[in-house]
Amino acid sequence: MLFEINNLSKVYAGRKVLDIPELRLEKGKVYGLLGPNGSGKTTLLEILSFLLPPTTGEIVYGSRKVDFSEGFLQGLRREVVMVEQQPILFTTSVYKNVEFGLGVRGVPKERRKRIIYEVLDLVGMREFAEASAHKLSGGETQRVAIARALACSPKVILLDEPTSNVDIENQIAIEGILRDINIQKGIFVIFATHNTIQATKLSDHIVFLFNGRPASSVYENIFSGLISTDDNGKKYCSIHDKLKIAVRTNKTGYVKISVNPIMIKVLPARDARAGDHRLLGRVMQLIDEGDHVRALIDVGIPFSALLSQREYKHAPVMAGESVALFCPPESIEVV
Amino acid sequence: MLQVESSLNATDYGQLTTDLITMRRLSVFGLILSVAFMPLVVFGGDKVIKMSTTTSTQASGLLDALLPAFAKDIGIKVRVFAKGTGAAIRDGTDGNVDVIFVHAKAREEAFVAEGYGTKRYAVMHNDFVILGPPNDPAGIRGMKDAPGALRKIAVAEARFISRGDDSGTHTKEIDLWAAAGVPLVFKTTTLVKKGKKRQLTFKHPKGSGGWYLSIGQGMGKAITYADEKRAYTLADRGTYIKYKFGGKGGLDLEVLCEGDERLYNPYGVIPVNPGKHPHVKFDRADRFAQWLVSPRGQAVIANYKLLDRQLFYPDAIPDAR
Amino acid sequence: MDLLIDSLISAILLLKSLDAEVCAIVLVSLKVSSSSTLIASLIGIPAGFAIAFKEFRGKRMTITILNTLLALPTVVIGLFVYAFVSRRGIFGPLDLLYTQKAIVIGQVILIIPIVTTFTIAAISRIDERYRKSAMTLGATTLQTAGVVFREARFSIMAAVIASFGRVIAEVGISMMLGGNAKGFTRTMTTAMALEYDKGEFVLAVALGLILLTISFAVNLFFNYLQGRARA
Repeated sequence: MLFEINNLSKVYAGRKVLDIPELRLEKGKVYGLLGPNGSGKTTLLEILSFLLPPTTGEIVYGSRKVDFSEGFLQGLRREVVMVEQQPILFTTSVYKNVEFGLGVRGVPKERRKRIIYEVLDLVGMREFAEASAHKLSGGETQRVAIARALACSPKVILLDEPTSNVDIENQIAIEGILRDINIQKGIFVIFATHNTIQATKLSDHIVFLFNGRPASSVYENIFSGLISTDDNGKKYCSIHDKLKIAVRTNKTGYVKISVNPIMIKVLPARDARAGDHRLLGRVMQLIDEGDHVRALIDVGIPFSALLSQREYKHAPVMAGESVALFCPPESIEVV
Repeated sequence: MLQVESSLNATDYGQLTTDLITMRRLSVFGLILSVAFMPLVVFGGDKVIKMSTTTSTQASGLLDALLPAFAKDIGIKVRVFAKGTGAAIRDGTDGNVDVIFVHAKAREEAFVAEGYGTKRYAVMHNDFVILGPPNDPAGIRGMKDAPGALRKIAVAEARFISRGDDSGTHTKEIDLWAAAGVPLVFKTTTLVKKGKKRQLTFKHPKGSGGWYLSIGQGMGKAITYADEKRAYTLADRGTYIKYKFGGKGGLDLEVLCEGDERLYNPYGVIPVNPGKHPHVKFDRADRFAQWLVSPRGQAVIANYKLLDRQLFYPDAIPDAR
Repeated sequence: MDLLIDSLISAILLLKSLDAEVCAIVLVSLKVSSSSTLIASLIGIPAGFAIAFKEFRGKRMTITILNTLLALPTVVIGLFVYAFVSRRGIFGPLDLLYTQKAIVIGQVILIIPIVTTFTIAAISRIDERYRKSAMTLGATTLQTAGVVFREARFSIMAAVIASFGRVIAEVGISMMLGGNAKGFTRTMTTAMALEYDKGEFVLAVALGLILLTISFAVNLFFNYLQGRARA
C-alpha cells in the first residue's frame, strides 16, 4: 500500500471541499482520479503531493505516518512530484528547467546531462533543450513539465488534468508518456481527469470523486443500501438515507444494488413526478463518449445515465437542468 | 472666523488639528476660508520691506527687539531672511531684498563700491570668541592673542570646526588664520559667470577633513557641532550665550580666548540701490537704516540684553542709552 | 537661462579638470549611498520575502505601516537618529555623530521601507505556481525562495535602484547626521545646499548637473545589467 488515507478533510473558508473517510492506493498502479469540475481533485492531488496539509485526518505514505511539518514534508516531496493542470516553467531554458530537480537533489553536474536528455527524449522534446521555456506552446509546456518532474526520478508522479489544455496531437503524446513511465520506469502514476474515456483507457483503477467524497464505481451505479418493506408489502432499497428506490427482491438487510446506466431514461422534470421508479435530480455534467452521451446526475447521490446519440438528439438535456430519471424494474439488480 | 485666525498662525497649528477633530465640519469650512485668505495675508499690507541678514542677528534675538520697535515708530514691517553673509549679500546683489544687514566690512564696502548698495551705515559691533572644550587640549585658556591661540590649535592639531560657509564669521576666521601665520591651502575653482571664466578661491588651513572640519553651516550648528565633537570653534558671543545659557541641554563649550581687538565684529546696514534694481522699496529701506543709527535705534541696541548680558555695542552713537 | 548655461559649462570644466574637491564630494556620496543601499537591501529584501511568504497576525497592518514609513521625512529620521548618537544620547560614547556611519544609519532607516515594500509587491506579483513548482520538485524553503527571487529579480533590482536614487538625492539626513564636513561627510547634496547658502548658485547647479549625470550613469549601468540578464 502506498497511500492510506483515513478520515481526511480539507476546509477552505468554512466550506468542506474534501471529505474522505477512507482511501487506499496500491503501489505500482496507475490511478485515474475522475470527477466533475470542483469535485476536489486538485485539492486531493496537492495533499497527496505534500504541498498542502489537510485540515484533519491521517495519511500513511509507504509505512510512514505523515507528520505535516515542513521539514518532514520536504523529505517526502523528494519522492512525490506533481505536475499542475497549467504548469509554469521557470524563466530560463528548457534544459535548465529540467535540471532544477537534479540541482536541488545535489546530483553531480556530469550526471545531469544524461538524465536531462533521457527524460526530454521520453517526452519528445530533445530538440527544444536550449529553447526559452516561455516560448513553448501549451502542449509543449505540459511535456517539459512532465520531463522536469521525471528528471527527479520520483516514486510517484501526480498529474492534474494533464491533457485539458493541449491540442489533440499532444493529448495522444501525453497519454502515451503516462503509460510509458508506469511500465518502463515503474513509477506510480495518479492523474486527475474529467474525461471518462481517458480514465478508463489509461488507468488500472478509477477513483471517482464527487463533491469532495469518493464514490466507488459510480459509473456502474453500484450502491450499498438497506432493504425495507412498506405497509403495502412493496420493497424499497434506501441508499445513504438519501434515496429510496423500489426493488423486486427477496433479500433483506444490507445489500448492494446496481442500476444499469444504459436502461435509465432521462426526461425533463416537468414531464414527470416522483414515483416508484422515478428519481428527480439535476444534470451535473454531460460527456460525449462516442456512441453514447454520459449524463452525470445528482439525485442526492451521483447517478450515471448513458443516452444513445439518437436518444440524446431527440430529447437533449443540458447541464444544470432539472430532470427525472426513470429506472425500469429490469434495470435494477440486487446483488 | 476664529478658525481662520488660528490657522493663520503657524504656532497654532496643533490647536487647529485638535479643532479639526472636535469640530470637523466647521473646521473644514474654516480651513477652506483660511486657505482662500492666505494669499491676502502673505501679500497683503503695504508697508513691508524685505531684509536679508546674518543668522547671528536673528539667532541672538536682537531682531525680535529691534523690528517691533521700528514697526511701532515708523509703521513699516520687516520680513527677515536669515542666512550666511555671503548669501545675504548675494540677495542684495540680485535685488531679492530691499536692505541687507550684515557683518563683513570689506565685502560690504565692495557691495557699495560696485553700486549695489547706496550707503553703508555702521550700526553696531559685537565680538567673536574662541570656544573650546573644558579640557582645552591645545592649552589656549585665558589667552588674549587670538591668532596666537589659533596657532596653538593648529600645532596641536586639535579638532577645529569651521563655519566654512563664506559667512562673516568664516571670513573673520580665515583672516585670523592668516594673521596667525598658519600655512593656508588655496583651493581655486574655475566657474563660468555671465559667459566669462571666473576663479573662486577658498582658503583653509592644511588638515581639512582631519582636525580641521569645514562644515558649511550656520553659527548655532557650528557651536553644537563643536560641542558634540569636543572641538574648538570661532563664534560670535551672542549666539554662544544663547546656546550656552539659553538652551535646555546646555553646552560644555567654554570661552577660552576673548578680548582681542581683532575679534571685533562690526555690523553694517545697506539699502539696496534702486538704480540697479528699480523695484526695491528704497525709501522704506533707507528709513530703516536711518532709524537704526538714530538715537532711538541705537538705544534699543544698547539696551538689548540676552540672559542679562549685553551683546551689541552701538557704533553710530557709542554712548546711547 | 544664463544661470543654467553658466552652470553647464562650469560643470563640464569641473569634471574635465577632475577637480580634487569635487571628486572627494562625489566619492563620499557614492560610498555612503552605496553602503546604505547595500545594507538596506540585505535587511529589506529578506524582510520583504518573509512578510510576503508568511501568513501571520497583523500582516496587513505591517504592510500599511511600511507604506506609511515611505513618506517619512528625512528630517524626522535625522532627529530620531541624532537623539541616539548625539554625545548625550545612549550611543554617544561611540562618537558616531557627524560621521559617514551616522549618515549610513539614517539612510538605511530611510530606505528599508522602500526596499521592503517594493520587494513585497514584486513577490506578490510572481505567479504562485513558481513556488509550488519549486516545492514539488523537492526544493527546500531557501531554494524555493531562490526561485521566486530569480523570477522577481528585475522588480527587486528596481527597488534597489529606487533606493539608491533616494539616498543619493537626499539632503536632510546627510546634513543633520553627517554635518557636511568638507572632505569627510560632504556629499553632493549637502555641498549644493551649502553653495546655495553661500550664494554660489553656479557651483550649486553645476554640482546638481553632476549628480544627475551620475544618477543617469548608475541607471544606465543597471539597465545594461538587466539587458544582459534577460538575453
